[in-house]
Amino acid sequence: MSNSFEPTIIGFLCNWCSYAGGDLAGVSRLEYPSNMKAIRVMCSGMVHPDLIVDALKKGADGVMVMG
Amino acid sequence: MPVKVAAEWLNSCSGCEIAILNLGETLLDLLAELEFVHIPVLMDHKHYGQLGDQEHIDIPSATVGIISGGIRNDEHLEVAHEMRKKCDVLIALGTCATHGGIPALINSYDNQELFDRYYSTESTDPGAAVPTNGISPLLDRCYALDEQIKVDIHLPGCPPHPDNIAQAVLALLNGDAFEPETKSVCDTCPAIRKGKGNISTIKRFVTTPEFNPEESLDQMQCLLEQGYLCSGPVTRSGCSGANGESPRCIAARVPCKGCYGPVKQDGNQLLDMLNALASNGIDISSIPDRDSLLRFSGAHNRLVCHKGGLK
Amino acid sequence: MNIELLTLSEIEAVTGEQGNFTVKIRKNPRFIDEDKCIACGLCAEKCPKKVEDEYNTGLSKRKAAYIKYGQTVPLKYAIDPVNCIYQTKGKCGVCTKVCPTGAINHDMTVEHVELNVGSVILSPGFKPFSPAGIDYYGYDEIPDVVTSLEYERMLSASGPFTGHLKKLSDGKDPEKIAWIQCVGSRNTNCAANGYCSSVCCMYAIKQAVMTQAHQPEGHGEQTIFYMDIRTPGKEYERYYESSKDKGVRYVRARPHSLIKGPDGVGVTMTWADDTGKTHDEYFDMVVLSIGLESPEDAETLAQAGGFKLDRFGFADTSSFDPVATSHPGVYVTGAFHSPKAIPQSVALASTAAARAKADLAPARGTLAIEKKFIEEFDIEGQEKRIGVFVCACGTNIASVVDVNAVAEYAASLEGVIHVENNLFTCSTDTQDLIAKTILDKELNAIVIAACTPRTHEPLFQETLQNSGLNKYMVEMANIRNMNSWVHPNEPEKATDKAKAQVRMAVAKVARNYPLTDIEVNITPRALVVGAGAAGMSAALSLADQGYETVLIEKQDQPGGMANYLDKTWKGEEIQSHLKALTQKISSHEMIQFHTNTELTAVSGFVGSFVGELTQGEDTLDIEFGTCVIATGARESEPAEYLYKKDNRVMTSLEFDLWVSREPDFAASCNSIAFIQCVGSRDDQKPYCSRVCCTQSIKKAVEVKTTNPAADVFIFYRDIRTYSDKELLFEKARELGVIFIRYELDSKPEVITSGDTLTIKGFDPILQLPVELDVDKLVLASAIVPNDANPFVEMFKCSVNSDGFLMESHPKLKPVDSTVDGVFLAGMCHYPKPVDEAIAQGEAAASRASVILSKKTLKLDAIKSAVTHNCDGCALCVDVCPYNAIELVINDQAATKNRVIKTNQALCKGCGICAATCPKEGVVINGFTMNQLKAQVDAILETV
Repeated sequence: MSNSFEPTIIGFLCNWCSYAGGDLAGVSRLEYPSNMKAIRVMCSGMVHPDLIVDALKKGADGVMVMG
Repeated sequence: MPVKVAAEWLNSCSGCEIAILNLGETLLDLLAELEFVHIPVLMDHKHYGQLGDQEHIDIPSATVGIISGGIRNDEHLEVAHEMRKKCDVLIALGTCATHGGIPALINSYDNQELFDRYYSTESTDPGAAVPTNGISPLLDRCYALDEQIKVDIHLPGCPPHPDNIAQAVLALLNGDAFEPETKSVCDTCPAIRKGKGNISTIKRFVTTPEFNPEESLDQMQCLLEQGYLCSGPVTRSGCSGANGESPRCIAARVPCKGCYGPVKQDGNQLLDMLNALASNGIDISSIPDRDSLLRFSGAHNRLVCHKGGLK
Repeated sequence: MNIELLTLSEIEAVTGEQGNFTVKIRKNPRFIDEDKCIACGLCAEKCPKKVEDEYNTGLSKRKAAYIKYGQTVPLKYAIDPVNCIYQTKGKCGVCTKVCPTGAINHDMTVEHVELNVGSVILSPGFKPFSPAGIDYYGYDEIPDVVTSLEYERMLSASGPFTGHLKKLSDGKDPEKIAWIQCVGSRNTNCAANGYCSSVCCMYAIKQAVMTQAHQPEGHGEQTIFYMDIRTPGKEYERYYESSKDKGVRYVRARPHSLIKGPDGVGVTMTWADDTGKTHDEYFDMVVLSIGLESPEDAETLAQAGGFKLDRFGFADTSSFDPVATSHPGVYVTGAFHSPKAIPQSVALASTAAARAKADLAPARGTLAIEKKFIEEFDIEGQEKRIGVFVCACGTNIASVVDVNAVAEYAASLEGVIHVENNLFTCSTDTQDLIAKTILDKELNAIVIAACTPRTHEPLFQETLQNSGLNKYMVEMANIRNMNSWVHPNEPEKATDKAKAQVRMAVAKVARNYPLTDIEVNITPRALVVGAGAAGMSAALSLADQGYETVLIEKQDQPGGMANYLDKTWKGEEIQSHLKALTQKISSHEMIQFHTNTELTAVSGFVGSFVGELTQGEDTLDIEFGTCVIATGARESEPAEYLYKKDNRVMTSLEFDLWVSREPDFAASCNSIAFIQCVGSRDDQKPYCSRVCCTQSIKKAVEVKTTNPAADVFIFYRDIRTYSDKELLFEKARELGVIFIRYELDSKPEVITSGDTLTIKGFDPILQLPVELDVDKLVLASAIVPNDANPFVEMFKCSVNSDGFLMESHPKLKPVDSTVDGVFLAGMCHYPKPVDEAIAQGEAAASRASVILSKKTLKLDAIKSAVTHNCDGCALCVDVCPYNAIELVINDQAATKNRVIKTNQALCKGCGICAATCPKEGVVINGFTMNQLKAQVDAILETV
């Protein structure tokens, strides 16, 4: 795989923990690659598998569900 | 003026055509409104001219086209394209046409595995050739119609309940939009439901569910809640017809096998069912053959060949 | 809105009286205007002065302009005048130049504030013990000896080493780590701290377990050196046991003489085992489990507040009014009360609030502020007219993300008809501008591309409300915290990401629809179940706060287990307190008290429960808004040590009762033994009953005080006299009570031969078997909860595997049950002594009164909603963690088919139902599949 590969990663982040963690990473100025786009959910439990399969089918290179 | 209808059967068993006949007296009313210009199951009308004298496939033009069965070989594909070309509105009739149906179970295997299994048994000589003469070459797998041609109306069911067919045809005749069911088999199932309770594993259907044969269906506990794998929640309703019958399998005290395919045309019975079971704390590894949840909807790349095992 | 936070402030004097105090406050200057600071951090970034970061225990640096840590509330920077160059030398002022909002003000001076308040609650916390100067721990000399607080920061992902452990000597990964317990606690030798700090055993175990988790497979060895492992809290014992399974090694020894390891790396430690044999063992690191001391300024605070301290400098309080200081109306909570862990601290905070609320009851609500909004306009059927506001956040966003390009891009998106760049979208004037723009441009959906919705969504929702637009028509694109702040070196990628974020927010808001917050009426009445010490305290507190309270008791008299106790460990008479309490609840005009009564059925939810009370044959329906469960626990019946076979063997409570009938007992008693942990801390009941060590030692002291000649033995596994109860343990040893330790696999044996009752055991100090003939044997038998299953059935709350009712969150909501509006008090939650039961009763009352203080309960609209796709398959019914879903007959349909119904008051909007449903028969408003899918599509859309 070439080094120029820029994966598109979709993150489902729970408002109460991982989304908060993402915010804190910002406050703490921790750097990470910009490939992940976060979708805020009120609980990782609300992420239907269809969403994940759908995302992968439509071309996402990775999906993270964090909660 | 009657509406011209062309019908074709592809990778199918003729059960859907029998379902049309099963319309009974309704069929008599409908026939006056319909003119079948091509329907091989009933009428002798050949693809390449009655004498086989034409070079190209020729199906007469029709307002409504009905196709049962999915697409498995070159011939099916050619016929399907011709139907699409000649018909204004195309109906995919039956689950084989809408989701691949039982024949799409082959999608777990590739053609080589199929030939090996079929033509090479313990008693066959090694090296025997696979016959090709007069047999249309297979496509790589079994397709639902809408994977190859545009479909206007999906009428799933194995076979579709005659009431569904009547509803669709009547809607077309009246110029109304036909809305397929948006609910699952549970909608018309009268069994007692409470929630999944303490079920933690799925039982194989080798024991008899609990019910009293003297009592009506609405006195029986939901089969899924009894721990049997019932596809009702992830299967489109319709098998109960339009007159308040119970779902066909449930009426026989047998769990729903999923013959109407997923609730939404692009749904995934396997994924939805396993997800729902897992959410309910049921150990999905207790289901011996999970792919069987796709036994009617193996097209659309739902069932795929994992030759050499899952990677 | 109703809390005013005065930071950097100290109390100078408290005058006046309970209900009407004047508090003089010295407010030290922050040198940064809190109203203007937007926490962009530029001041800190540019500040040239580096100082030791005390939050990271000096292991990293901070600037003189700083925030203490990322989660600081309020999130406002401050200037540390001791280190600031401008403050000390009058030159510099870089911060003033770079601050984008002009928030820096080096001329701020001390302000004196005078507040008129009804009551005062003190929670100044504690001071970590400093091991500096204690030569045998070598803390000053050996780099690899650290305090537990330093170690905690080293372990933390947000700490100085971002969670990667390393030795301070050579920077390499440590393998072998030791913890030494009781550093500065239970020690009257090097520190005058005779008490137990209560928290160190648990935190050391936690650190050891977490360290293990940090290590690769097969690496790392954690050893805890201890005197007694004290894990007497809920689920603590289980955690301790599981840590052993994870490989944490426990050594009962008090190490002495720590010296630097070879080449100045690591530590060589000498310790002696039970047999007296000494060992020299090398460790890569040694962590000193430092104790808790009273705060630095305790003395000053006590003088200013006019209350007394105990001999260790903590607030002096009594068992029966646990949070009251000696100054009426001044209350105390947290570790300043006595060293305690988070659950007790948080619970005690509610206790203090309850006492204050009772004092303030006559004036309740008179100063409360409530926000009012204009009427909402209707947008039904309208096409979406989306407005996008892109914030620069000064330079916070704009220095990385090209905000103009983002705005330009936003304008090209479908449905967007207005786009604006703002310097600070959150500023008050921009808020007014947005509200005006909504009306001028007839916008009906708004996207704010700025910071995080977690802090700012409520603000923008309010902006919408101020314009009359439904507050749920706003979405935020988090282009600061999740973009410019984390991608500072990739401006192009950051800009692309910001565009994607805006695209996502637009895609979502295009699918938003107006939602209405839910209001639930509150029945202004509390039900308290169980009239033991906890239940009565809860009822009395609620009544004193002015709330109608129904208190029911299953027995024919109140008091519960407290009826069997004579004195607290401090010697306070329990019976007289109980009598006074009973008198008060019986005569209180706000309390209805029913004995012989049980709660037999419950329906409804927080704010409006309906219950059925059963008294003999009669039943009575009662409506209540909130409930406190205080059904208590009881002493279990021992199944060993000749109990019930020899009448000289009795349980603790039987012994108490017997002593009360035979007042001359102690004088005539020649020998008595206690066996601890009878039925506790074993396979059947793997928890510690918390009260028995103190209980037995108290009895032992009483016997020994009355009759010094008597032989008193206590067979124990770990003595768990946590907090200042340690003083009782010390006293017992001084009086000559003999403590003999045993292990679970070598329990003492009790036999009779003729008239003699003999206990056979092994004394690990003598290293010899012992045989003791005693007159009486007292078994400290386990405390077991009363059956809570009816409550599990009725309220759908839950119990832990030991049968104790579960709290909603062990640390953050320690007295809330798992069901909204239902609270827990006393021993039904976990075994506890009288003072803690009373404190928890009052805490539960405080939590309950939060509900009762309002007429209606407002809940947000992010809740489940049933769609027309629902066909009643019931797959979602059991997955709901809040029991908010039921299956009903669909009365809308001609046929008798079924659908689910969700209870909006119970629903928390977690969406597990929506994720379970195979057909979108149930969705979460504001987070529908449609909306989430639109966001997925927006991410994957290539531009």
